[in-house]
Amino acid sequence: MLNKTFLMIVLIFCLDSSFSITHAFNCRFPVAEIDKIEAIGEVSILRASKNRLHEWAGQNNRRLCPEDEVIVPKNLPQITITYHSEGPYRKTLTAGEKYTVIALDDPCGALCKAKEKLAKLWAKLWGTEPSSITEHAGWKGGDSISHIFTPLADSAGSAEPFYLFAREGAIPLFWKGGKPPYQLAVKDTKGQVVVQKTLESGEFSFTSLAPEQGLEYSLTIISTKDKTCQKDNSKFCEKKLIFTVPPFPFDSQADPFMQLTTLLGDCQKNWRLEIWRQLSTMPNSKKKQAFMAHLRDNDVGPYDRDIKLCQ
Amino acid sequence: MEDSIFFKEQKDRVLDWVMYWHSDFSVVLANQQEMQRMMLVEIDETTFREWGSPVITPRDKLKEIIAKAEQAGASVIAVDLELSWWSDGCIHEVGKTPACSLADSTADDSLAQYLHSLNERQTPKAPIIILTRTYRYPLGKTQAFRERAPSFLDDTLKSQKNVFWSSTFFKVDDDRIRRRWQLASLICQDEHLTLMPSMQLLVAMAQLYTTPDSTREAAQLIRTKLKQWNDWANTLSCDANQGSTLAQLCQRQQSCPDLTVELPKQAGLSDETHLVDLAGGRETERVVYRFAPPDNPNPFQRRLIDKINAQQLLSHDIDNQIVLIGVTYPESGDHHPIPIRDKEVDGVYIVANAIDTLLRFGQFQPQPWLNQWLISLAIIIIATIIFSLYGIIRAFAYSTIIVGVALFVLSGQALHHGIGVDIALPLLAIQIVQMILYIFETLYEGGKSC
Repeated sequence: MLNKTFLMIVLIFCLDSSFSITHAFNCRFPVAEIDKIEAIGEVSILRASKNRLHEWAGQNNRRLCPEDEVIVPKNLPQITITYHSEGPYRKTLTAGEKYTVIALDDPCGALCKAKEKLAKLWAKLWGTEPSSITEHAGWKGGDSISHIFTPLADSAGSAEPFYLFAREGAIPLFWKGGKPPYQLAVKDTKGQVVVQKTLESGEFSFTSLAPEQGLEYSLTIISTKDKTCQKDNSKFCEKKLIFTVPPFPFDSQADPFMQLTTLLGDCQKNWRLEIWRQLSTMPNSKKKQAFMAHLRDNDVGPYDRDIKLCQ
Repeated sequence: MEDSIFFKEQKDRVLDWVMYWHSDFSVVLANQQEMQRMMLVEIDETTFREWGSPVITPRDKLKEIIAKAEQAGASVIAVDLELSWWSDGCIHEVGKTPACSLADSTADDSLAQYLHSLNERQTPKAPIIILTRTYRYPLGKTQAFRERAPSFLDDTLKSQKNVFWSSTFFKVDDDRIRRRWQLASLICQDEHLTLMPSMQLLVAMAQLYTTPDSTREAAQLIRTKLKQWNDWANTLSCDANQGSTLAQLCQRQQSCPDLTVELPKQAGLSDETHLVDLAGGRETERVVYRFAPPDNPNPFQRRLIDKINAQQLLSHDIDNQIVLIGVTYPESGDHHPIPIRDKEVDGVYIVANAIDTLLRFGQFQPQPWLNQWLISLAIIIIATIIFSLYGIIRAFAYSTIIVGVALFVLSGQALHHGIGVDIALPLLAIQIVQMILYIFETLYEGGKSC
């Protein structure tokens, strides 16, 4: 039985590796394209597959491969690049901006599926939910370092800000990927630094003093060792925090989990950090742990199945 | 025994398993480029809510989507929505009074007129539109053939020139999995049979016969084939005794016409010409699934089908891609289990995979008999040697491992060429024979010692 399992795993690994090798050729699989605009012919592309040879983009030359560099001319206000990713991801470039196209993860092949199966089997054997069935490795750059990302942000889209209730209290932040030490900075809209820290771990509790409604902070987390943020311009290192009013009145007598579930069902705004913040202050319970695991695992749907999925 | 339902089910499950491990990949063509992806314009949850969660897809919105797809450059547009219902929510049958409240029919009329104009268009780049509708079994009669339910488009679309009706029937197995298509179905209409090609067949024909400059050849071919098939089918009554499928009918009828379709190769889509037989039967009807929304979505993963929310279509463009319009919102109820996913997937992905199967290798082919015979022989020899060298338990384990590995490698490779490999049965036969021999030997030895 062990032999069979071993052989199967080796076989699956070999097959998956063979797929990965075929995927590595540059560039059979474009990962993005420049959205059509009239003046697209003025956009430059330095093709990675042709030793950075210059090309003009065109209505029939808009597809982009990993490591291709896109240069927007100064007379063009902006262009948008749409990635062919499972989740919606678009990158807007402004006049004069240069941008290197990043690689996407390959579709879940045999090895990835074997991992998923094993994770499910593990969960069934030990009666726990798998902590993360899918590896959220983040964007791949030229190397295999996983980039910084905040799990609470993933399902809503990387560019979506976190909405928080405009009230005093600690905001427990955590993130994954990159290599410590991390440099964390919170700035206001004028660019003034509110908090700046160098951290050895991927978590930090930030306390805001009675923020006004509509106040916006910009949170930046950079891995100082591998400079991942600078390298791929990933938005996962940079999030907006917007302080605002709750979308509905919170009733202190009502079931707090029900209220947080309703908040999670808000398709317009990502309240996950606020929910995490509120859960962190609650007494420990199985329900709280399950809710936090749901958020941490970046489950796309809301906690309560009765509420329809946000897509 | 090999033809028993039990063994057919087991073979299906083995192939499901192989398909599961060999799915989710990009097809690379001979020019080392990725096979052109299809474009799915999805009426997703966001669009659905934006439209006020309508029970029936609003006809004005559908018209807008088709128009945008056409303006964006699509040459083949397949609408995977049942277009029988009027906007009031009823199907209007002659002689019956619909119980739905009266509704403004402007949107229905407008869509009908728009499709009519597309149908009549003769410009080289006029798009080919594939529609589907409700086909249902008649009440109070034998349920051999479905009948066409009336559609709000019937009065306007009298002939099929660029706009064609199709069926989207898939065979549902006992475990609810949709493994097989019906490439063309027989429909009873005005007391005689009509051959209704499937959406995947018409889409594949339309796309593969479309040249960069024109869709005319493709439209002409579809019209010719439909006429040829229906000139024959219309002569047959809706009598179930003559057979209810094309395969049965052609086995019993001597006058069966040419029911094959040649799917030519085309740059960016298909490297080989495939011949598809509408009466090919069960063995050729397998849909070889390659992609579907992942069970565990990873937003950073490269996708295998282009997908766009109906709301965003205006800002997008389409490079001569096949455009599928379908619903993916949870309330649609159009979700089905498929072999390559644990979770159910939206029906439009089943149609997309059926089109993909046709483009990649036409029909699923059973293993050539010589190959099958050689592989079976090799397995029988290997299994016999193993059983002669080891005890019954070890021999069982070793032969299963060997066949498991062989099955995985051979079936996987064959699947990429649309060929099924069946080597489990010979091994099972050997194992059963060896087990029976072992039991007899044990009993005989026991008897002697007494």
